[in-house]
Amino acid sequence: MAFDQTSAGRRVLVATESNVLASLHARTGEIAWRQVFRSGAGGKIDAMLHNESYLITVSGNGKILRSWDAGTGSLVWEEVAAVTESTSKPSHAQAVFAGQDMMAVLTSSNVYVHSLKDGTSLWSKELPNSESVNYQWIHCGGDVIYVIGLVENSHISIVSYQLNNDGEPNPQRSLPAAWASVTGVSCIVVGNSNLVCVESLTNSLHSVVLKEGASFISSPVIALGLPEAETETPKLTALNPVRAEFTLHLTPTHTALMRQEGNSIKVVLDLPKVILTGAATFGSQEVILTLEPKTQLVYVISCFDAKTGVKIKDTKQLVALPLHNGSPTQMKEFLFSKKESQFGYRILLQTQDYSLSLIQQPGKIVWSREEALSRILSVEMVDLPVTDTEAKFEDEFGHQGDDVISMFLRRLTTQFAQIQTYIMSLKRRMRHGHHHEHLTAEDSKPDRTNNANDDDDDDDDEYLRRDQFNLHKMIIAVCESGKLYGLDSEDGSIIWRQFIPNLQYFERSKTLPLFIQRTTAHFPHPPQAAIVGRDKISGQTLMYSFNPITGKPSDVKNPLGKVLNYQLQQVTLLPLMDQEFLKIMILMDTEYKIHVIPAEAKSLLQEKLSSLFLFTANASDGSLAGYALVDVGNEHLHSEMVWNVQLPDDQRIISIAAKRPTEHVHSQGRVLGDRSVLYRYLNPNLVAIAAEGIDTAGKQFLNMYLVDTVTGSLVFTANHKKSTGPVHMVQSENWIVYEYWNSRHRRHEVTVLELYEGTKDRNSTVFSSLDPPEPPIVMRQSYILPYALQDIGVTSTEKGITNKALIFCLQSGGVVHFPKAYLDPRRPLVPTTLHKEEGIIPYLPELPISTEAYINYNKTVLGVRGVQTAPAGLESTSLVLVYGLDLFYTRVFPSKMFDVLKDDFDYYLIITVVIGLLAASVITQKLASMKTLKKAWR
Amino acid sequence: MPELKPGAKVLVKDMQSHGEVVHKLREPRSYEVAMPHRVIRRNKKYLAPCGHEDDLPPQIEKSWDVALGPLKQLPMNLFIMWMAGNSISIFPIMMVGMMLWRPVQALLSIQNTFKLLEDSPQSLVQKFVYFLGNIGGVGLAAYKCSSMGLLPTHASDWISFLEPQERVEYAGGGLLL
Repeated sequence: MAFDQTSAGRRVLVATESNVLASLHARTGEIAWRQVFRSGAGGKIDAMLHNESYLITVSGNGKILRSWDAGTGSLVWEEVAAVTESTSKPSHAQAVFAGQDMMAVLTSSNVYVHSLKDGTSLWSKELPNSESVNYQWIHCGGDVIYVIGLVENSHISIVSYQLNNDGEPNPQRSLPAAWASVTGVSCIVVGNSNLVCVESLTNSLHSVVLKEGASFISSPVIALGLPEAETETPKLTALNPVRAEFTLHLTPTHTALMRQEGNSIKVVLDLPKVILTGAATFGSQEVILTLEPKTQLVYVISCFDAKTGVKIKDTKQLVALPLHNGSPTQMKEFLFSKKESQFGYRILLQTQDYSLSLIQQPGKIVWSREEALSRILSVEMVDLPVTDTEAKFEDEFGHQGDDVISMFLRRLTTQFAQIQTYIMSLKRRMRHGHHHEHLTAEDSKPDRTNNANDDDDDDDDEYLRRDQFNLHKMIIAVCESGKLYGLDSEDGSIIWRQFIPNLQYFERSKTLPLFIQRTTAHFPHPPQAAIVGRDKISGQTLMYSFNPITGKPSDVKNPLGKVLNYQLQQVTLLPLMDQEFLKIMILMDTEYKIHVIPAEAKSLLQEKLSSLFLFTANASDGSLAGYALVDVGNEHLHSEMVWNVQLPDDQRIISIAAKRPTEHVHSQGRVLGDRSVLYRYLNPNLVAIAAEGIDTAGKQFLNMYLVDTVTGSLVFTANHKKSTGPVHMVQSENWIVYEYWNSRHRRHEVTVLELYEGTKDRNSTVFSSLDPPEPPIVMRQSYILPYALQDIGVTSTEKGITNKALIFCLQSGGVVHFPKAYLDPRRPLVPTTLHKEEGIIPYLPELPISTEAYINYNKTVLGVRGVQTAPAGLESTSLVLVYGLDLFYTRVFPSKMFDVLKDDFDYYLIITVVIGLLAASVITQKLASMKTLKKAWR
Repeated sequence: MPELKPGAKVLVKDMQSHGEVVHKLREPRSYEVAMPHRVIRRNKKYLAPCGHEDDLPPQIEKSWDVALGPLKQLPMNLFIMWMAGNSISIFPIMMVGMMLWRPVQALLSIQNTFKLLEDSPQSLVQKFVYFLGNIGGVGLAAYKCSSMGLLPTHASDWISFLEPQERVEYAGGGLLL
């Protein structure tokens, strides 16, 4: 994160953990340009170097160097550095500017210098003993490049090279340092000459002259008059490498400004309570900016002169951050001259919830970007509630034992009320024009929470109502930072947001499960959703339940979530409801105890206990286990392992796909050309598991398992030789589609599996895994996909009558709507008349993607994390949300809009024809009667 | 042909009505016949005795015509069916519809038709033949429907009435959290 130096603070440059380099307009916060690097470790941005003329990124563990034009974001040069990759240590490359037009990069085993102008490699050296020494810091002092490494609990080793002389090495030095540990030490170079380290083992600062010093001079923190760091590792931050001042972060809430004077270290300014500092040069003055909390939400920013430690006048400002931002985690400053040696400053503040705000004097938040939305973990689309009057209609059927007359009267009053509201809305519309038109017109996401007028409030209430076709939904997004959003599906604006500071995702599976416990269908009970995560403080389970429409917590006593005193293994939402229509959640903790939420529903579960099962999959060792629920008395439930499967040969589970629990399957079979039926094998407990392994020849392979999770029986397995992940997979109805990389032919392939019971008549109206039908007939076919995928989704509709379509998110940023009919294992090589009658497309190995199938047109969607689909009230329509770095929402019609009249439907023609026919029949009737009358007279 | 006796009931062929012979006239083969309103003179050629056992009275013949009507239609129907083909489009559907509708209609109004046949001495047989003919027509139309694929005779025709299977067990879960 840095202010763009070339544009006088009008731009902000950011390099993010999501492998994105971007430039933002400092005035509005909009993205000026953006470059998305490869996802995963290969595209990780290790360092961003920036000065007046260059913007350099080092990515992929120091492997790729790129120079960018800061103004336009275009690539100036790109260089792949010759790095010997060490697999033993995870490393993070460091980079510094060296001299006028060079840069030096340090990886875990190499140091190399490149020219800034064109990226040519000047020299590259392999570091001595890189297996045992952790090289962590690099510094360029004049003509010498120092590389500082540490050996755990032994010594610090300093290697130096001549910058110019082709990197001629100077003699290596080792300084004894028994306190050295990889995680507990923070070192910086101060005043261009001294190396200063701080560590938590002895709570001391150590300093040494970088050039020739032979041993560290230690000064304990207490001796300097500062309190000891308790648990956290203290951290050092350099202000400006040439200056002797530096800051020491003792604890997250205690900072001190220090100075190196000769051989000793002095405290210039003790800054208790300060959580963040920044430094900038203004003329000859070195300014320290500090940020400390005043109250829970208000923060004070003040400026000090680094040399004297004196507070600079008229620079203090108070900033009130919104509640949903959490506390600040990082700040960057930009100083500009105002008048008469005065300066003003802007501050870029990153907060706990991953949002970025720009603060300008006096304490004004100019803009704020909700970057948490780029790291969404779970998404659900929730129906909006019906209007009050419609809810009353529903209410009508709820009462029992009412007589006909009172029901009739109630119906009359509700309908009268309906007319009234309709007239009111008409009136309002006449007055305002259409209320929300201005919102859709804006390009960026408008933030409705901020501009809520009192008049608006009422309107909003009316606005957040279900429309005729249930197309308008509330999108609930749960983000990595523990922030929740309620997004309007119409325009993507944020309707509500809530930050749960202690909510952390489960690290092992990287998930934050979100469950909709009660939908809006159960008026007058409010809808309810729940998130299960880990509590940041205690490491136990944290559960937060809220109303998905308003974002308000359902549990008023625990507005920031309730800590449950156990660690979770698995959680699932049952399709059973308690008396208040709340779906029951069961949680299995690490001691295999079962917890039921809500707790009162336990008795309800008792009778169903024998039909409830849980299963877990361990991705790393490839083991699966199924559990049955048992009652151990005393109102306690326990889980008992009923089956387990161990995948052979160290296979790793890389992907799991289950069916969507709310899926409707309309057709129970498939009609063949000879008009017989192939019945579908619709096992609701079937889970598809993709596992990766290495065979005896050392080649990678991919295995596909279909497992019944109640009994643990293996329904089907498939093996793909010389194939690797990542596997993108969906399971729906009776089929599974997955995509993988075929390393033998070097191409992406898609395989479809379809399961059928056969053509014999079914003799059971229930599906029981314990009494299963015959093993299914599995049909399969593979295709070549000429594109790389980021993810696959599948459409879902209200009743499941509409054909299914797949949503392919291409690596290129396209989102493609792909009919399932192309992925049909019955596609024949040589089509017969029966096939033609059935309408099956003949087999072609390659899957064509037509340009019209791109549903996102020119709006590329990069860094996709997932695809969420939801049914609309119209059977033909499925709502699609693609989330990742970008959010993309649209409606798709897999079978075209068969239940809606087309836009160009000719109402006038139809009406004229009907009226004409009516008139004609009346006239002819008259004529005919006249004629018969005349005939009778004759 | 035997001589008609006075008082014998006869059918006057050219008038298509019954009368009674009054007496023989002097002219050869001429009789005076008393009709309900007047008395006429006719050559024997135009008179047919009624109630005679040997040759069928015209009423029976007429009844047979009615009774055999549907049966006579069948070959024609077969031909039309063959011409219409098995493709499902508006004209074949209309033809098959008519073919099916006519015998069904006839069967529905069978009581009225039976009333016509009531007088005939062989009415029972005629009724049966008539009924059979119509049933044949319906059968033929049904066969045509089935060969066109309009009859729900295959399992695939009932698939949309098949209820989804109910789930007995419920299993949830996934990767370890």
